Amino acid sequence: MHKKLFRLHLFSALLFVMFASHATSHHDTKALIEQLTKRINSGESTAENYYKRAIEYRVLGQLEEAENDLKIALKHNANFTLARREITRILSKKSRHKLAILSAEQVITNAITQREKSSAMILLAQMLFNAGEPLEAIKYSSTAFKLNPNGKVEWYLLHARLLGEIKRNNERPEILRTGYQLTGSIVLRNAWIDSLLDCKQYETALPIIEKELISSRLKSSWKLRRAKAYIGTGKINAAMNDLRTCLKELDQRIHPKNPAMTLIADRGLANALLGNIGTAKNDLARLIHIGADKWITIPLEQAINLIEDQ
Amino acid sequence: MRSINVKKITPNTMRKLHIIVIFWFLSISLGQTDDNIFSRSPYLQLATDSSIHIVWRTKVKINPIIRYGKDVDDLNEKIGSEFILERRTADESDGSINDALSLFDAPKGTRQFEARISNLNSNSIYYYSVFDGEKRLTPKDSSYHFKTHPKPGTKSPLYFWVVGDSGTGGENQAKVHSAMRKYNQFKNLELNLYIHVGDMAYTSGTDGEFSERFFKMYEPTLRNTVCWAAMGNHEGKTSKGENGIGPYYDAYICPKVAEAGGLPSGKEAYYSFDYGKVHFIVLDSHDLDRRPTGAMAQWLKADLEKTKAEWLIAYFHHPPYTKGSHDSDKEEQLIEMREHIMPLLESGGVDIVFTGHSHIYERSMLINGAYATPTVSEGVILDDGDGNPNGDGPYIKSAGLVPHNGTVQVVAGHGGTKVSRKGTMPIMRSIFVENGSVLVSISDNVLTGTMLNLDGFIRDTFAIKKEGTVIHSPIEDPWNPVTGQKPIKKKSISGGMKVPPVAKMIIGKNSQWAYFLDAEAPPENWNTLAFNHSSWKKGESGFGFGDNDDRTVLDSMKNKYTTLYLRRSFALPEGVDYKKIGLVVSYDDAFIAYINGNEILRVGIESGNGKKVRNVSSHEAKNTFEYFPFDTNAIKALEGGVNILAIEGHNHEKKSSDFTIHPTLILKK
Repeated sequence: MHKKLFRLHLFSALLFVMFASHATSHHDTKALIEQLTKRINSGESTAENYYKRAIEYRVLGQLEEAENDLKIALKHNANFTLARREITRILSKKSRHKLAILSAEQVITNAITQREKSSAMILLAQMLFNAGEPLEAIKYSSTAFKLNPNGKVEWYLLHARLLGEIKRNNERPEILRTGYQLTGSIVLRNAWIDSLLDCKQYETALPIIEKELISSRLKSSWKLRRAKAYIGTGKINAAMNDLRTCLKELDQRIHPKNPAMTLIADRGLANALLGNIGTAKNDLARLIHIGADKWITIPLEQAINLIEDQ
Repeated sequence: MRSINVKKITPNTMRKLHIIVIFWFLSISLGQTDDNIFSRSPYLQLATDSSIHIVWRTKVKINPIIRYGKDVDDLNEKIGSEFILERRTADESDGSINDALSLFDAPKGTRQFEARISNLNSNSIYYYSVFDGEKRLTPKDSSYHFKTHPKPGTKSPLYFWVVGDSGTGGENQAKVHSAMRKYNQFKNLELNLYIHVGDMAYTSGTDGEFSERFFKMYEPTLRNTVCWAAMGNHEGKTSKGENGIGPYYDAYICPKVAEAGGLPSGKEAYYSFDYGKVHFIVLDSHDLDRRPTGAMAQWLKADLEKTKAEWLIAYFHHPPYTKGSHDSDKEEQLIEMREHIMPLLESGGVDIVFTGHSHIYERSMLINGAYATPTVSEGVILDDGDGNPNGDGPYIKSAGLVPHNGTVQVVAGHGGTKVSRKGTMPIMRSIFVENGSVLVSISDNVLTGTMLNLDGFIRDTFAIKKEGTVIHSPIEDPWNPVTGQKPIKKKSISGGMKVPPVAKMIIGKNSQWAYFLDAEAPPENWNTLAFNHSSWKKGESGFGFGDNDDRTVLDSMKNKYTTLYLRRSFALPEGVDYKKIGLVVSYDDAFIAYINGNEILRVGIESGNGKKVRNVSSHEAKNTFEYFPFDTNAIKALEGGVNILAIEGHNHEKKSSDFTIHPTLILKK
């Protein structure tokens, strides 16, 4: 065979094999790790390959291996933002908060556009909050909104939670209302109603709650909210009725052995407001036991403390 | 990598290889140099009961116009360019458009047109054509049509196609698509919608991959059927759920503010929509927070609380239960979807969950509460039948949406890519390692799912029927997908409970029974409904000897036989609550009970039946009765009309001084 023609054939064949193997064998997580390891060991030790392998390690919960690969990826390319973001989250997950914060700061440094910078600020705010520094965190979430006033649903939620954490509850309704108006997200609308209740703005919240009670199939969340408003306005009997019917519905919705976290939190809160402190504490203990996030446990804990103080 | 031995490659082999490579390159490049003006042919998006979107792409500037109407020969309505959104690549934009509107990585010169047609009649068929000014770009062809949704909350049959992990652009993907089209043509069926559970454009969900491996592949279906998509991990390599930017988000128009029903999520990454009395929930399992405090889970909870639909269908990419090419006991997204999202979905009354990611077809029994890691079948299976209307019968659920009333899980990651299997997920009833797709129809109170393989053969059929109020209890020993059988026998128990207050005796004390007492056992089918016991002796219960507590005294049994067989037919009172039925038995020493041939209770006998029983315990009747409530298996064994209760009573040993069996059947208060 002519030498040039042979090279052309060989190149075509290799290309075909490469693409074919890529197209057929990349779907199994372990197989993909093996494939990437082979590539890395056979000279393709690129930042991209280390990053890809890190993602697969993370999927399997092998955080050490993931972190190692991301470190190598970043040695190859210090401006590799996706890898930097990923290692930031892994460090935080491993409770290595200081390193996570440093890493998030580096994401900000590498960011070029306004959009990238604002998104990096939110990442840093989250890391600072995870490290127990909400005051510092809120500076960055505020800056993110200045850089990108449209924001995202998650940004508004984080910012409002941070405001609650630093006892600036009265600012929460405004930021959540703005977020709701800009995004249309029902999560922000509901968080706005919750913030109104926390700020004792019952007259604004109640008409919306009443409307939701009429149009909803499952009503326990709204009964719980209305009970809070009733308690705030001194309608104790009406509140107790709402709480009892709320618990009745939750009994149907909560799986006896494997309940959803947010539903246990609702039940705990209803029980706390009814004065069933022991039952409420059981729910709180269960939430803590199954690793519920503090955003779920804090409102229940506060309600229990409040009732106990009375 | 294995080295290639050049000497072994013959010129003939090389020629063949070269031809394959040329064809492969041609198949890729042909799509890019198509003479057709469309770089993406017209396809439908975001339909409601009064509106729809038609989207297409061209490589050149045009004056876009849509003409449409109810008569294919008279497209009497028009949408002009002033109402059609034109999107271009970022480098060609005039700077006035924001990030979300510029196309992410489309070829330079691409124009994407998005026409929203509104003020349409509900549940109506319209024909359409795309024009460049006066020049018609799509042919006069009735396949260019759309059908609006029925009004939310109204009854209307629904037929849809479910596909996952299809986007290879290869032969198997094409065959799966073709099999569906041929099947529908043969059955004279038309899709109302198409749901894709992700991984529709391998390898990275780029714009080019979308064009070739999704839009071009499914073009004849997409021109008249809306594809409602969930993002897969491969699309996630180039598209991001957080900001809704990337080729995936360029391709689809998904509801952000509840345009098609449900509650507004504020994002295209997760959303819901209604079709008549069916509510669909679509989640992003890939790159958004899956925890209960995340925005997606909070939206899901609120959306579930709001919907008043009669059917609830959820879909997303990562399966909570699989042992296909992925393992849901080991992988992060899969575990989190099971542990965090499934409890919410089941508390909201979800009926069926479609997923992909794992390249296999797996379909579960009727399950509830299977959130543990690793997944086990004990205590989570509500109905372990095959769900096939022509087999064990459909899964029965309460009418409407009832929390924790049972869910069927379908992993449909077999839409075109290479399929494989790691093991057996214990909750699954049907597993096929071959390419295919799922067709689902909902009519009134019955949902029927069919797995059609790439060759057009039906490999699995299941149904869910909703009527009345159904209370399920988890089955202790469900059907096992490894052995393909129910556990061979019921576990033996040592005794019953205190007899509760009785509302009605279905089979009373001292009732007449047919009985069989012999050295040989009766025929194998002695305990079934079909068996004729007319040759058996008759007598009033209780049966036995010694202790002076038996109405039918069987002195011949002493030192001779250990086993007595009893049969009696009965009918259930109308409207009976099956959960209140139970056996009340006085016995010495042990027994096994059957309903219509199915073993429902085993007391004091470790294993075996008839003459082959092992380890029979000793038990004194003492003139007392014990209560044994019917479990789910016993309830399932009951028939609507006449039933047979069959009992085999066993004595501990031949030389025993006494024996008693006195069964009754009660309905407790």
